[in-house]
Amino acid sequence: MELLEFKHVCKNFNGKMILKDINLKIPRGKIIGLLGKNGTGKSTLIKLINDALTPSSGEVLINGKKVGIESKKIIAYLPERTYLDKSLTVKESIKFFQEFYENFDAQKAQNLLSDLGLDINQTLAKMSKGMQEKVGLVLVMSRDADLYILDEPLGGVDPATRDYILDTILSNFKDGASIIISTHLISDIERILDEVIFIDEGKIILTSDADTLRVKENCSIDEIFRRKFKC
Amino acid sequence: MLKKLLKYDLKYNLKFLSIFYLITVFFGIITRLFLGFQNSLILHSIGEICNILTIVCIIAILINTLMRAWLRFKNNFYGDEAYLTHSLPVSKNSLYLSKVLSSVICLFTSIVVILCTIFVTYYTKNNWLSIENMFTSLKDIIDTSLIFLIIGFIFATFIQVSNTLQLGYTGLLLGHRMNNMKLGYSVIFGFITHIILQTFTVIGLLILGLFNNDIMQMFTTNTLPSPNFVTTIIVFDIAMNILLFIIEYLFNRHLLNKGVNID
Repeated sequence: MELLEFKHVCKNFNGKMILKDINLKIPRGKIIGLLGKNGTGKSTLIKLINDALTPSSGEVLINGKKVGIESKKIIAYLPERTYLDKSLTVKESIKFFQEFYENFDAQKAQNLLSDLGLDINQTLAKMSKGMQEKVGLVLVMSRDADLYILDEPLGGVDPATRDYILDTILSNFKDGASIIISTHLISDIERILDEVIFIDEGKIILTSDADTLRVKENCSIDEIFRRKFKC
Repeated sequence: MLKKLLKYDLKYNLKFLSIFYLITVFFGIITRLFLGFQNSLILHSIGEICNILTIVCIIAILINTLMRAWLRFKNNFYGDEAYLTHSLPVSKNSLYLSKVLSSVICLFTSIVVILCTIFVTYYTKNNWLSIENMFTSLKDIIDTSLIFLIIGFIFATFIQVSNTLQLGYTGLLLGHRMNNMKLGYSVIFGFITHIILQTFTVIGLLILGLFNNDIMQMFTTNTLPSPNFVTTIIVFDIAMNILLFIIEYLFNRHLLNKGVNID
């Protein structure tokens, strides 16, 4: 059984088709890059997995079951926006995750936050956007999930912190778990990808093993992306 | 899980409302103290100003209880925080029930604070006697006890405002199914739902009128109904609003279970 499967999924907004007949299978134990330009449907696809959107047709299956309580227990989702309750302190946010997610490791979260030099007694509202994003990432990566979904995790952070974030991602997920990373900053994440999915105008235009694609095209994923999405 | 959700919802609402509660009770006490100084114009004037401020604070508590609950609902279900809310391993029924329970508990707390403030500010033996005398003079048209009337009125108001809270939720749920101008549509849908529910109330009253002449008299003549009319109306109002509250609750839960679309 596949960890995640899209079966003929379509999504309409305002009469416009954002996703067109998506058929996709995500295996276990892989780091997958969901790559595409801005506004091509990456976030829509991710939102459908996380119950933030309802498909217009087709179905999304996680471990063979529809999106629901069971799927939410095993998926750790980092949205592209700062999604935490800003009236809470970081410490309270940790407690919140601990109460709702059985697979959340509070000690791990505190260690990661301390590495980043973040004050856990500070209210999120008083933190910069970049700091809030770091807290969000730490909370998500402190879960022992089967599938991590990271929507633009590098978007709002400086290049120096990007490497730290990628290392945090790499060193904090269990064997057999998969990670989907949606981004258009391909050169930054290329080194960690096992597979790539290229999406354009709501359609999946390419799925491939990252190394096979590099050998076949004799260039980096970043270069292939630039060629495919040349304006 | 419901308990945990409820804890966070209550904390969010009461953290803010408790400031209003304290200010209102404070002005209530000051009003009581200063209005007693009949011989000093300055102190009595301060009492009058505090009296106005107490009334303003009471109105502010009611408005903020509603607005805070609606704001929490909108942010949690359709704002940035919605990404967290909808990815929690909790059923949509629990999510909605927590919002309803927390807002109703906050409303109850607000009403208790308002009643306590009114009692602290205005209760004197003379004031109570005046109310009792006024009530005795209405004995011919109200055939019930003063205590029943007060409790019935407070309970009916509580249920009606609880319904208004849920009307706001209905508006937000329907408004956010639209693609544009979601907040504008939320207000419009809330208002339309209000009209529909009021129409149901009038229909219910008409049906009751088929079995109760006093009620039918209200629709057909200008004459005063019998003394037990007020009791019937209060009981009907409470029963009808409880029924509408349940219908609204089930309808909203159904809407939420159909799924959301977050921008």
